[in-house]
Amino acid sequence: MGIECLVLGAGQEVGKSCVVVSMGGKRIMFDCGMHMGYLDNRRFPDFSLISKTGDFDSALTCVVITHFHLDHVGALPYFTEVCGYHGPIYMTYPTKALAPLMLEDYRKVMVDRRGEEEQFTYDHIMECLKKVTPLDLKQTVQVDKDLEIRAYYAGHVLGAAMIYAKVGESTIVYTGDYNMTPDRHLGAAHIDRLQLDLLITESTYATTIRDSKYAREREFLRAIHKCVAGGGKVLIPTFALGRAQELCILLDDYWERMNLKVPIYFSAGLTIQANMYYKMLIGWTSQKIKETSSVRNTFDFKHVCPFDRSLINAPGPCVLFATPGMISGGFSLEVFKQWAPSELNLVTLPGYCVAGTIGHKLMSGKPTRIDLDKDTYVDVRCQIHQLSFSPHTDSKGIMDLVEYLSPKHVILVHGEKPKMAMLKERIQSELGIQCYYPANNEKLLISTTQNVKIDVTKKFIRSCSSAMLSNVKNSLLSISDSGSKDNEIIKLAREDTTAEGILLMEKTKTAKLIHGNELLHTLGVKEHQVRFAFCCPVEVTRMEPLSDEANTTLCHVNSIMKVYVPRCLVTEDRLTTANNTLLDILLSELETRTECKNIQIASDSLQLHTFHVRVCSTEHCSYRKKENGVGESVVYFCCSWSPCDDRLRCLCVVLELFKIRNEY
Amino acid sequence: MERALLERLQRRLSPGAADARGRIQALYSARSLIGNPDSTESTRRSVVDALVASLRHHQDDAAFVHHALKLLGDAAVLCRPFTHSVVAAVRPFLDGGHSLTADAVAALSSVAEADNGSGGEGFSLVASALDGDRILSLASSPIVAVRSQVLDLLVRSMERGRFWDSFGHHTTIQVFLGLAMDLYPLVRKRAVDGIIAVLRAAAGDVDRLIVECCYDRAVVLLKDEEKLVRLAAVKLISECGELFAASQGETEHSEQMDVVFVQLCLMARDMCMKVRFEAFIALGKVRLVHETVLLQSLSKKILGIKSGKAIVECPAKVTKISLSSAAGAFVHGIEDEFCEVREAACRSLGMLTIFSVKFAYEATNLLMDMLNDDTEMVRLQTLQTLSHMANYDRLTMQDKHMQMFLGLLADISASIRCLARKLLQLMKLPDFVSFRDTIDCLISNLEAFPEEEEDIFFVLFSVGKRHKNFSTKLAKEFAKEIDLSCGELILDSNEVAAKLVLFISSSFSNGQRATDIPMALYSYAVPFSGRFARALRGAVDQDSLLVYLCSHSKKIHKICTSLMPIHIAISDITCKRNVLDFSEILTCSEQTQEKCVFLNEETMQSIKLNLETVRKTWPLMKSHCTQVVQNMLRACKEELETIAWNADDGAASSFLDFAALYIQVIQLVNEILGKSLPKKSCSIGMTVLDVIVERLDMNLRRLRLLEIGVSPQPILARLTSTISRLEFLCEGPSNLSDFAKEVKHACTEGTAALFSNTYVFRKLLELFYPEQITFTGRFKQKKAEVLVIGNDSENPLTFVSGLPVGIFFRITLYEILNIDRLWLLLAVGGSIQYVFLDLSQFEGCDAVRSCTLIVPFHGTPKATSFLLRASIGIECPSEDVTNHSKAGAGSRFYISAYVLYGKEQFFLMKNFANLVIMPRIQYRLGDVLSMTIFSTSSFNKLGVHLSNFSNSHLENLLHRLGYDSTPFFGTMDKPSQEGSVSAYCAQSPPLTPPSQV
Repeated sequence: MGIECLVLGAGQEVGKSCVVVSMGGKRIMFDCGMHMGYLDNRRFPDFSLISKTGDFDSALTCVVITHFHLDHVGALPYFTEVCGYHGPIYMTYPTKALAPLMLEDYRKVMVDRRGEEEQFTYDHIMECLKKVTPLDLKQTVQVDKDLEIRAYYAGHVLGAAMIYAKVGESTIVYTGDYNMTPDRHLGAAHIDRLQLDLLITESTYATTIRDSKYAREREFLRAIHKCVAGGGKVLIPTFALGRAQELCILLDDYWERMNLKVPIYFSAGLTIQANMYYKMLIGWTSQKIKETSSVRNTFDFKHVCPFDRSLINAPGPCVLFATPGMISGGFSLEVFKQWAPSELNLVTLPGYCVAGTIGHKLMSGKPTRIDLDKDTYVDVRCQIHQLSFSPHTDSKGIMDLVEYLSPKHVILVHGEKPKMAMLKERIQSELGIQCYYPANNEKLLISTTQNVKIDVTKKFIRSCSSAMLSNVKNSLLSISDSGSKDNEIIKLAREDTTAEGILLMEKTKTAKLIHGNELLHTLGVKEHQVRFAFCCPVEVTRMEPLSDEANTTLCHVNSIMKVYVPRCLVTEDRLTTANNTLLDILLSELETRTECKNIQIASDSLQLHTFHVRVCSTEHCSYRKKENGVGESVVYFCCSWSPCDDRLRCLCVVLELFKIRNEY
Repeated sequence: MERALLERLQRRLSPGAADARGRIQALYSARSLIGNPDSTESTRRSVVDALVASLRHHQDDAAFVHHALKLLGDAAVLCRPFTHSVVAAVRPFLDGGHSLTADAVAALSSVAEADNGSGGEGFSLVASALDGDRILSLASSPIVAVRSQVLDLLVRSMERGRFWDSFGHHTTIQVFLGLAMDLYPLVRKRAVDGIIAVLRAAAGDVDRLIVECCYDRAVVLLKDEEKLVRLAAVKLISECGELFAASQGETEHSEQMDVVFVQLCLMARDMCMKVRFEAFIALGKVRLVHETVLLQSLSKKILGIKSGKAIVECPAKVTKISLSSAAGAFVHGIEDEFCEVREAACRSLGMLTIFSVKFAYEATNLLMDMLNDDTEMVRLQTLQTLSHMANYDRLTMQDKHMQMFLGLLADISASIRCLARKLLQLMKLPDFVSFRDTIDCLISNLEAFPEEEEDIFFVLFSVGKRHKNFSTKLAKEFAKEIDLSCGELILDSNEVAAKLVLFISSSFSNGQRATDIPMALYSYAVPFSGRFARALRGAVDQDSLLVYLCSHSKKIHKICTSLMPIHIAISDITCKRNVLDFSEILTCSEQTQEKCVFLNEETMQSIKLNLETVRKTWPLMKSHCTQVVQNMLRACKEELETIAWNADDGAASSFLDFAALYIQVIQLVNEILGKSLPKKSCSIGMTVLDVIVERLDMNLRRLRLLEIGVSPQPILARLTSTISRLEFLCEGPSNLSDFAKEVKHACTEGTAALFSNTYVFRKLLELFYPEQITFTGRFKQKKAEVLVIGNDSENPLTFVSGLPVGIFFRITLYEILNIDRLWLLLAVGGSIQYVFLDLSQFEGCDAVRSCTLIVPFHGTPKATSFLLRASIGIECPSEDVTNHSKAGAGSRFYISAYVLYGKEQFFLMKNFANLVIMPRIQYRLGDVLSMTIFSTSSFNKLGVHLSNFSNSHLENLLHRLGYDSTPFFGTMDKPSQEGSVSAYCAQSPPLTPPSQV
């Protein structure tokens, strides 16, 4: 069994994320994005690779969208409405709310402004989103009997999620885009420690290690403050969703703290609507915004007001947010044309601009003149500030996540090839995890380990939990008691907790792990014990028979004093009493000679663990050493012990040396 | 009821009762019987006994036993005496591996818990019931409830410093270590808590190996799935780390600590907020870490580490841990989503800076970034951390930081601004540019938040003191600027004040360097001395500051005086150092004047001109042009009062008061001269002179209250006392002028002779001349304000004649020392009631103290209304009592006749309320309307106090008094600060208060 991974998009490139994962007979499509850099059929993923016949409904179990960016959701209406996929689609609530805005905006730009042939209509978008099942964070959704998916918070943009999917024993996580550091309006990605076979992670910044966001914020604020203080106008071209809000919060907060009065404008339309959504979806934002939302909604910006076209050439400083982000057209281009010729003004560029856009031209060197088309050009004299704000995690973040999840395999997508190669090397060498970065339309088969399920008895589990303390108990009773307790502790701490059990496999039944004690019962057999035995002669001197009466009383006193188990008194057998007396004496001798306080007296024997000593009553004990010259004064003590306590054999040696003086 | 309940309960619990439900119900009533505070001891005893007995009989009923055990536990808590029987009853259940054991342990646990230390035997009882073996067997019970209960009991008693004698440290640790690997997360967590408690209780007295064991276990638990366990493990790691460090002694660093540090850094990336928080707290406590490791935690990039230090081997266990795991822990920490974590990271960062200069340098970068955090709490913590670093001399400000930091001064939050400025005081600024930026920022700070002036000045002062060279440089630039501006620069601005405080500060601690600062700046600073002194928060008082400034501006002074020829000749005034408490002030006269000039140039100049005029009158006086002199003086006085009216500057008022009194004294002297001199010397009406001299005497005393010694030339019967006063003023006879000596001599010869002998008198007169004395310092005027609360013209206080009336006084005293004895004088007609004022009742300092008190006035007369005059008297320390018993009216002490402030209160019945004649009040210069408008004879004036009066009222009143209201309105539009209007009217037809008794 294995996991098959078909990369339809974002393989060794950034754009049109789309990965189809097959495991356990299920097929999930993660993301369905479009490439912004192409206008031909490379724009969409090659869906024909999923199903040659075009019967996507049976080819795919479900589609899961991680967030609303067009390179993750852009091809969805096309896929559902044009290609005809009718199966289940999952995305988080905010994605469901914001994706139509993005799609419609894009469609308008494409069709209305550029006059392209439309790939899908407004109705398509609406129809498509009707089929979407919304997801909530950490909510496990049972797509069908075998497949379950769960969304985790990913940061990045509002509603972005990492998706965990599980079929049978195979588990994967598809991260989508994520951010491991929080920003002004979103929290950091948050995921449980999961047992994973495969992690498919983005790698936009595969080799970059970013410094603290504070430094970036500081640079940004300083540039803007300097510009407006000098009377200049600031143009901030952004995408309507995400960065715009982030920067806006930053500026609004700074304006508030520094008591600045320069107006901040938000170009109308999409942004206003987006802000409204942001206000509603406050539960998906960062901790701080959530906390303060009861007092004031952060998205009710104090210093931000809508922009009017007539204000473009109004005198005085201002800050303007305009779409689209890469100055590829639309309002931001219009304003750029007006403001670029003045050196007082400032244009901040987003961290990433697609080649071919004006943003890209401005980023690559500082041009003095930009040709818009054959006839028109713009003189660029304004200052350019490049924003390094990025909602993607950096290479340290990727490494952290991989290390944290420790999956068995990693697939890198959504990145540039050479950088991915470097990251792959790092993951393999530093973390020892297999890593791949397939190209588009490449299929990758990952073998997964097989797990066998076994049953476990309750007793075994319980024994696991109390295994450690049985050691403590033993040490409390051990001979070397007063000696090195520290060592005992160290031994205890160093010992790996091993649970011992017996694996029982019966025919037609699942294997079962049982506790050692249960084995006999389960198998229905009797226990046999192996014991070592040795009958040890001990020389007893001055043994004088005493009168019955005196003997009894004395023994009585003695047994009360030393024998804890008073049962021996019940038997009035004189012999027993005498034997007990002997045992008492033996005990005290042993205690003084071995300094062992743990020897206990049972009814007719001395005990230390499995070591038993009793007075031998049989005349011809088979364990007795045949010795010559054994006199009357010798009493035999029969010792026996289990092999596990073989070390106690030494006690016999001690016993042999005894010469007990019997006072009675 | 109680009995009935008890009986039913006993019946239901009896051995024979088979009803299981009934037993459970019996427990309810048992609980209420025990819990009811009114239950008798015997009832409770019976209930407990019944329960104990029933436990024995119904052992098999698990549900019942479960509840009964719980109840017994609670009973033991409620009533201590039952502890014994409860423990005994619970004991049998401790054996055997069933879940009831857990309940039994829980019951014991609550018994032990109830015994909170002091002398209770609960714990020892429990300890006896649970010996070592039993605890071990319970702790290794297969039932999780039993384990967790026993563990809980152990940990709790451990945390309270109770030990189980039955087994020592080692076994306890063993048990905890064992249970720390339990299957159940809560048991694991509790066991780790237990280890921490043991380690703490041992207080360092633990074998290092054991600590290492605990540490190893904690390391394992750091990877636990349950966050609570991870949290506890982090705490344990921190605890072990401290023990390691302690055992390490003072060595530079230990590899073990490196490992601890890296482990904690790893935990700082945990997904659980609480774990991260705890990890950062723990990171702050780590010591003896190698610098490379510390630096690594500040950088996300893996630092190139030389000589194979990249991996440390944990000595105890053979696990290798890469130092790179620590990478950027703090970078992540300060960017954390939760402000608690950021705050903790920030604090720990500060603590670690102590160990390494390089680390501190790098950390500053991070901390500076944090100043832009969106949470105020974090910004505050950052500032505190920076201050902490500055205190340990670990703060090096770089250029790039200054901008960020100075931005903080404009922060919206006052506490941030304040803390930022505080930090500024501790900082060492890298170069002149940032110094100048800092100063500019502070000045704009001052302009934006003028209410924080004192704090800002103080900071400027400290900054200047710290950066002498920079401020000297800036001072020179500023001085040049002033020169170039040709007087166009307005010196009376906040900016200038701020700069001046900076400039003067740099020389303040080091006298020799003072010359570096252009002298002119000191003199410019003089007028701000009040503001500066206030801002310096008692570090230096205004007087000494003034003197300091003056002494430094000596050279420039000459130019100043030539521009503004003011030399105040206050004749006859000696400066008495010890009495006047001016000891710290140098005697350099002109400088003082200069201060006054800057204080309120215009006012002071006119005062001085007036005084100059007074001086000029003296020759005239000697040539007996009494009337001319009188006119001149009167004109002077009027003018002074105009000035007083216009000057709302409180600082000038004392000086004005002094000037007015001085002129009054001269006037009196003039009068005396006029009356006593030449021709009709024998026929002088003694009584007239008496009155005048007494007035003179009184005025002299008042002058003394202004803390200035005055020695005029009295010539009448009371000369002796005046002489003695002079002696007192001049510290003994040796200092007396020739004149005074002669007068004394004359007096001792006999007063009669003096008066009959015109020659002596003339000789004296010849001897007398006004001596020009200059003095320095501030006028400290002893004065008092008495305000009667609830008494205004329209609603006067009411009284019942013959009965005492309580009067609310609000008394404010200025410049009264602790040793002064003050009396409140309540006078109606001739009778005076004296009330001693206990200064301890007053709040405030010597400068101003105030108090509100109710004083009963006993002598209410039989009249519809009466005038009560309240005034404050001060006891004169060394007066000749016999000579002055007049005012004291037979009392043993003498209450000085000069009253600090008197206020007459008008008591009348309601129907008289519309009579709006107000009593005469002592006036305070500067508070009242000028008298130029009405008064030509300034002595007998009737003060009309008009509070809350509309103009029509006033007009009405004045009309009734026979005044034309027109001139009045010329000055009426300036109400004094209390919202009332005060006016002095000349009293041409003496007006008797209509209703006075």
